Amino acid sequence: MHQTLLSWARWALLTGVVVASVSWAQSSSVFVGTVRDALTKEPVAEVVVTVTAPEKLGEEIVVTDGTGSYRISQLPPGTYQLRFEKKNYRSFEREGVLLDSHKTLRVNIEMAPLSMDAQEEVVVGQTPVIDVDSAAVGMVANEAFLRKMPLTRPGYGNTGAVVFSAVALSTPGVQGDAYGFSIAGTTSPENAVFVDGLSVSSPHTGILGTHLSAEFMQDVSVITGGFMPEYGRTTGGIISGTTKSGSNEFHGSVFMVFAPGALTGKAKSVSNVASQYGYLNERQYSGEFGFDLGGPIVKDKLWFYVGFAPSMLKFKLSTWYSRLVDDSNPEAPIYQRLESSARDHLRADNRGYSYIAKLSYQPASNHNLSLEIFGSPSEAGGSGRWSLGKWEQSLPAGYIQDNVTLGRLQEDSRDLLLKYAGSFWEKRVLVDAHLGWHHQRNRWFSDDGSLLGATSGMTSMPLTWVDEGIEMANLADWGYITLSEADKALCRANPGTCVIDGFWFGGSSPEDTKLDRVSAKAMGTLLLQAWGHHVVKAGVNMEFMSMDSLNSVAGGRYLFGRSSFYDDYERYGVLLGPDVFREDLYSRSQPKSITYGAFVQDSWSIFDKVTVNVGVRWDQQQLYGSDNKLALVIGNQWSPRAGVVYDFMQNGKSKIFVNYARLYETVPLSVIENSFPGRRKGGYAYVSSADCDFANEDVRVAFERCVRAENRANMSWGAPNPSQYAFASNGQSALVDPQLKPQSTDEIVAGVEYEVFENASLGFNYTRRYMNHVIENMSRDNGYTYFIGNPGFGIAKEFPEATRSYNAFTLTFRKVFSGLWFAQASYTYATLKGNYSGLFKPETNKLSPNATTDFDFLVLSPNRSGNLPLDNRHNIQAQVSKEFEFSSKMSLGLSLSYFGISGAPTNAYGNYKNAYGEVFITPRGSGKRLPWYSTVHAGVKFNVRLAGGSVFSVGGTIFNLFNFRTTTAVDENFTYTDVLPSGAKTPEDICFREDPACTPDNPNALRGTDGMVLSSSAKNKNFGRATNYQSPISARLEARITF
Amino acid sequence: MKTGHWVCGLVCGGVLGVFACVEQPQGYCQIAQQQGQAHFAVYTDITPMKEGACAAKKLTAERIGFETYQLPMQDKINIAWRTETLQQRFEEASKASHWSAEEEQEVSLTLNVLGEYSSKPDAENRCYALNNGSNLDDPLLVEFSKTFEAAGTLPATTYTYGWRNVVVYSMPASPGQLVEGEVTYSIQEEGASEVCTGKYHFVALWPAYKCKSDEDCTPSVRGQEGSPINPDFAGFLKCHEKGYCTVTLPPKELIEKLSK
Repeated sequence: MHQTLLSWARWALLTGVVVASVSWAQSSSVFVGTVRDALTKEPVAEVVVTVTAPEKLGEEIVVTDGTGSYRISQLPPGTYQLRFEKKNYRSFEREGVLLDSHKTLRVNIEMAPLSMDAQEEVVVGQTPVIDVDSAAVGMVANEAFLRKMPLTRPGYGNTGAVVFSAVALSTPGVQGDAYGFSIAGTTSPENAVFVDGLSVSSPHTGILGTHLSAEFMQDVSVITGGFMPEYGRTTGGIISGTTKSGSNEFHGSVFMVFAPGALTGKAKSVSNVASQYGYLNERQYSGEFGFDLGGPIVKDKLWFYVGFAPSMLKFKLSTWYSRLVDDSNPEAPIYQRLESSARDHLRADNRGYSYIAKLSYQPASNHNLSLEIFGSPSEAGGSGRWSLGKWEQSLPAGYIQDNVTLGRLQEDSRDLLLKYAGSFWEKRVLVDAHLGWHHQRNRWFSDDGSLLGATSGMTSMPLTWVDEGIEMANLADWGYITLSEADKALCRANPGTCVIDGFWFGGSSPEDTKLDRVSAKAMGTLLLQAWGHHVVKAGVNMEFMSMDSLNSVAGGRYLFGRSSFYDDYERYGVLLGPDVFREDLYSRSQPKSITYGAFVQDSWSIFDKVTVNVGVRWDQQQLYGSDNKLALVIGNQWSPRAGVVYDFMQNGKSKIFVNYARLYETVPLSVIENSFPGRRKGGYAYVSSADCDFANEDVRVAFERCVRAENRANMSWGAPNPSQYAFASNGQSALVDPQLKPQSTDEIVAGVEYEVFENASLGFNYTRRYMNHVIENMSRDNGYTYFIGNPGFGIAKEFPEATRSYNAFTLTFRKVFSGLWFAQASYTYATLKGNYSGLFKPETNKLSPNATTDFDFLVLSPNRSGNLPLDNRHNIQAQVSKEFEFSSKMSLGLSLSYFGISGAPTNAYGNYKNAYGEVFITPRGSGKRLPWYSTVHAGVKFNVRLAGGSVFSVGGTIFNLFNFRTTTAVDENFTYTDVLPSGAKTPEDICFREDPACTPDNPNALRGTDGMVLSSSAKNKNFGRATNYQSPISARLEARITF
Repeated sequence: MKTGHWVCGLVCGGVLGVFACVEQPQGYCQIAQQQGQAHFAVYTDITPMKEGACAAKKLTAERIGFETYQLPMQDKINIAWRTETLQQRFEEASKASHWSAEEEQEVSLTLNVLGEYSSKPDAENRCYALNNGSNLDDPLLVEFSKTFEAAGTLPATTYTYGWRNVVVYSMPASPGQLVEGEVTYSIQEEGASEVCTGKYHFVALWPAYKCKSDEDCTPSVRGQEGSPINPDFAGFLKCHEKGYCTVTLPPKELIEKLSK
């Protein structure tokens, strides 16, 4: 049954069926409690409870029911004042109650009757810090935390801005991965990231799309486990930022953070002993500055909030080549740097800005509307510069080949959100709804700005990889590298000592990708009384994602050479008939997806002693190919959730909890982009040692001579193929297992939390996660045909089941900001084992959700199970902040944080056919672990209170105070030869042909695909050597005026 | 934009009662293909060639290479194939004739059979090769013929293949790895007085995999390197005397096993 998606989306938008949705991120906090008579201890009904806060528009009033209970929902996070009033009772007030987003705080109080002796002690509830209704684990960073603690080191995530999602790094057990943050052993594209309830992750790959500055945040919450049904469509964690809003008073700030290169330690350079190059990347500066302002437009009715913050980041790049001086010891050849080849004029950068504009409107006392727009456009690179895209690109790790790699990257993101929150029937029914749009556009331009299809300039220069030794003197003569005449002569006099293994020629390939997501949610909350209190929530939601991408290859060609045999079938084009290949200037892909779901849940507080949370969620996703035809159905995602929370002290200061949840993945569009239909690529191969000798003749001269029709190679090798010369992937759409199950993970969280002293809690929890089914592309015939299925199930039953087992014990201590100090510390011990990391493969960092290379070949399944790359085991975090007040006008703030993580496991890779590094020669994770990674940040801030309540603060943070320079990555390519998995337990056990005992039946033997034992010359000389080091010590200065 | 699409969109988007739209789409007709690789076809007699001089020329088994062509955003699929017998004659002729590279590329194209291919499999996962413009109501009656005249310095020999009832089994568990059909094959050598003609049924398996014994045909399973043949066919494979693996069950029965 095929549906035309566009027609459906248009219908939905036109008719307004896209109802609104829930703002469960923004106004998600709750106060509950019971009011008792201080004398009789009986519940007191009809007490008027009023809550107010600077962050809250107006005040909220409720009345206690017959059981003395009250509940105030839909509150934004903030510092609240609670007031309790009733005739014949003394009024009671509690100030400075800190309410974080997504939290339910129980404030039980006892009211003294007027008849009571004033001298008699009245026991009242203290400010609680423990959410006694929820089994969720994670953390909330409130505004105080966001302003006082350094969230990330300068330049983290390839931007000068401090992005809100970086709060995840301060969350117990969370660690950074190549594209964001790994939560509970999962990969970053699995996380759901929200701003004010709107999903801001990329519809293409699932990684963060809008990198909004943390400066605009009221708070950021990170939920790492214990989900209720209202949270769905993620198999990772939830990172949810709540932006600031305007109130009846004008508030704002002007801020600046800047980390100059002069205050940065010297970075460590990396040399590759097998490739004769070296490089060094040094940060020149990183910073962000801007302002925000909020206030009333019409008092008590209409408010505004705006913010603007440009950011910038720049690196200096140095690269050089070396000359082989002595190779008598093959394990440690000696090289001499060729000074005239060294270059340090190149730069890498990222420049962008964050913005937000928000209107909040209260048409009636129980109804709130808001409209906001925010975004984080940026541009990276440019003429003569390396573009540092946010997350998706990294600094160069080798010699920079300007022609191919330099260019300009524009990453635009913008979000629009309309929200409604209201209550009815004396606040017993609450309604939240939102309608939102997330948009991204990423464009890549060549170094000289020439566009797609240009007949001159960089984009017109055919891309050519020459995979054979090229004399540096030749490259210098052709103008690709610099070398003095003296060095050229030295190299020519000693042939073979100045040889580069491979080199890219040609231009760069423009790309343009547009991504959109329209989402609509609506949620209703009903407060009921029946054997205790019920909070029943039900919601529906819908999400429409689309992508439109244009990809091209420079010059329309992609020559990939191995010793005078050149493939040219990576160019875009289509095979029209036997040996008739039509080249296309670009490849366009337009996948789409529609997801809809609903949930219902009840949080039942049984006589206010035990809270039982039960619910179920149902989602379905339908993905459509570029031809608008239904490609993939991720159907019937039933997610049961159940949990129990017991306040064993019965005073809101303790809880013991357990929660079970099934979580389903939202499949990003990238799997559709490349498989429905497949990207059409193809071309010819050319064979001619004379015409295609690019090692000795400049490509610009020899290219056209090489690619003549008469040089076309017969690619059939005697097989009776209708096309003997033209080669093409025929663009067939992938077939899908009819029994395909959605990708899901189960999670069990259990723990205990206890308030050890006022405002401080100690907690211990256990988290277990495991995969049920995984969606992957696989081949049952060694790569001839591919299909989409669940490894180990259905038609993929021969494949090993995809496993990822995470077990973690976490000990936490948290003292919220009060009494001028704050502290947070955690220790997590976690194991992560299996054969599946998640939506990208950390071993290669290739981001291809649901189409990783882990299950491509049956023959490569040995050794794939073991310690996964994110299996770091020990994770320690500690953060302390203390304010010293010298006078009513001056204070000094100090902060100190420590982050320590034990080393990740490493591997020994080999090649198999065209799958580079896909063979696990020894069991996964059996290589030496990397060393411990530790870093200490220290901050100091001097605050002066100015006239009119403004505060000026100035200070800075020193990152990596002790200048630790740990190795953070090593070369894990054991060999570049085609090999089979071995039976060796560790890389050290592998034996070679030179050893007489190393026969083909020796399990430790390194065998080629023909089964023969390889010689030790096949081993990569650089194996096990450092390829990256920890960033050196650096300082970031900060100045801010808040008013 | 058909009304049906709107209706399904309405039903699915309406959130309530949406379970009707959960089936995976069937997908286009596929056939396994890759340059340098082919199916291996085994012929069985329907009408044998005459005894005598013709008997030695009968078809027994050979590789056949299939290829499909589908334009972006279009349902129509074209198909082409060629046989190893013709490929070998062509290569011999090429060696003997000293064609230029361009001439050789041109002659090579004349070896192919061209036709249309069904876009969607039927209820029994069958796809059909069809003659261009033929009546699609009865795809099994479609007939192709290919005549190749070897030329140059070799004796001019005329080979003719008349294909009929070409069925490709295409389903996610086996995307066009099994093909069967009928062929009328005739060969006339220069100077020979009679045309040798025989009618055969053929079964082709992807990929053509070289073997010396039946064990060599055992497919790869979890880490045990074996043949690249579909693991579902394990137990129904043998090594044909021509040195390639073939199936021991009729394709229809094998596919029925997979569908269960």
